[in-house]
Amino acid sequence: MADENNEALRSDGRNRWHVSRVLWIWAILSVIVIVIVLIVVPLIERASGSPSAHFASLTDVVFTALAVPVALFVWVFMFYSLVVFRDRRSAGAVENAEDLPDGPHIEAKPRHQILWLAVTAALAAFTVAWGMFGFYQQTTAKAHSTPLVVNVTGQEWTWTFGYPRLGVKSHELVLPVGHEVQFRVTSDDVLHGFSIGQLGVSMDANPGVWVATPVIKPTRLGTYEVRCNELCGLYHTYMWAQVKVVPMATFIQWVKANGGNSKIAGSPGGGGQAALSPGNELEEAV
Amino acid sequence: MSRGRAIGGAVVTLVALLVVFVLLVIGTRSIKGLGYEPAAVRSTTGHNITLETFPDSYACHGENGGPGGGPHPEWVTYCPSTSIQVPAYSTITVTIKQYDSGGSVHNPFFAHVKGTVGNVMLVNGRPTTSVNWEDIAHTFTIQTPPNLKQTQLFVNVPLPGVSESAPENVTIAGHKYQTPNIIVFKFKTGAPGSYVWHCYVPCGEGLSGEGLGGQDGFGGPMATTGYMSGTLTVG
Repeated sequence: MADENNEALRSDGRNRWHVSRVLWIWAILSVIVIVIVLIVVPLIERASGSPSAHFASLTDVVFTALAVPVALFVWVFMFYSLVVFRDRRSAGAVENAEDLPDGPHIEAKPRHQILWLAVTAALAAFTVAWGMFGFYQQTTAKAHSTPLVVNVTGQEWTWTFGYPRLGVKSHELVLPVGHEVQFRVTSDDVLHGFSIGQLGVSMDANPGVWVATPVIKPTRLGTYEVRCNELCGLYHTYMWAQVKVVPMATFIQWVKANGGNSKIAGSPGGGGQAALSPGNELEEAV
Repeated sequence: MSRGRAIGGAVVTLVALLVVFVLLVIGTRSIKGLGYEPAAVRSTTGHNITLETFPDSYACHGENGGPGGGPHPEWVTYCPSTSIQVPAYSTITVTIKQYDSGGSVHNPFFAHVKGTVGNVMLVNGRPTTSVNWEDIAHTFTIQTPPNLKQTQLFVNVPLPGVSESAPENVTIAGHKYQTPNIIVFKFKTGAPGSYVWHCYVPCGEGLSGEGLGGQDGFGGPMATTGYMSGTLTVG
């Protein structure tokens, strides 16, 4: 009886040693990989052209960093077990698998289960809160803005853009920097997907239906790409367009060069103040 | 020995998957490989390009771009070839003889001339900037593939349809057609590059032939290079 108790104590001590070892490996690897993620993921992400895109990139970094210890927790335990507890006897030494001894009896401890539930619940609550904050920023927080509306029409296999208040239709998308924009998206034939990754815009283009995207604000001058992200036929890969984010003066010149002559008007309060500011440049010029 | 074989097999499998992945990436980036691609012929190279559009394929798709009809003689088509080669930094004059009747485009945007010199075309000698969007036989629309580094080029020319009641007094390859509309336009090329062009009038049925749905008029010849789409090589 004493020998059995001593053996149980020695076995329990070995188990705790293995668990401690695994946890240390997991902790060290988690720190290393999280640091790598924080450095590498922002480098992989394309430069953000709007606050919406920046929030999406930040979400990638944060969620990847959160996922690292969760994934490593599974992999470290699994690979440690595969390596340390593998059967070291030579092949053929065991003729019948039923002769192999059973592993030690393991019972779940309530505190471990509570800890597991608490950690996963906290992670889930954090992701929900994060997403709701982002959704609020893109919708409710901008409910009173008066953005420049751009109609986007997808058809096999190109995009066309209309600026209804400016009287312009074009195959290229030109936007003024620093001014809020909202896209209304539709398709003339099959289902397409309107996506400007660097501006944080993605919306299905459904035939016969107009769908509005959240309001976005391009904040970085440059040239971006519209891509179709819904398989739509042979030339789906070539279904793209340029997006140019330009200074307001350049945008006004482009509008005039494309036959635009409408004035932007209206404000949230209905006071007649031009939507573009400062200086109502577009209204005065056009 | 068995462990060595297992490791070796895993390595070979990983290498094979990597090779397949790389080939797929290269293949999808290539402008070719989208279907039947006829060789360019004399009238589709140089500063002056001559094309024809037919309601069927009998006038070409034979040997060396000659008459024959090919595997789909009932498909609408551009002739003699959809592979066009033009010099860089040049003004290109395109003449299209249009023999087909008219239809509707889904998007009236394509009823307007875009990207040509002066945003104008000549239709039977008359300067025109747009046509009735419900009476367009085909369009000749050049697009730039996804490549911000190459000269961006967009040209759209709507080709008005011929009247179906007009007499068929033109015979080509043993088949009769109405007198064509002659459309002439110019566009300018920049640095060397590769482009694609399509017709945007949905007059093709099915996914890759008759009887299949889902492409809303952009199946068949509309989705096959060599008929209503092709390549433009600059340089």
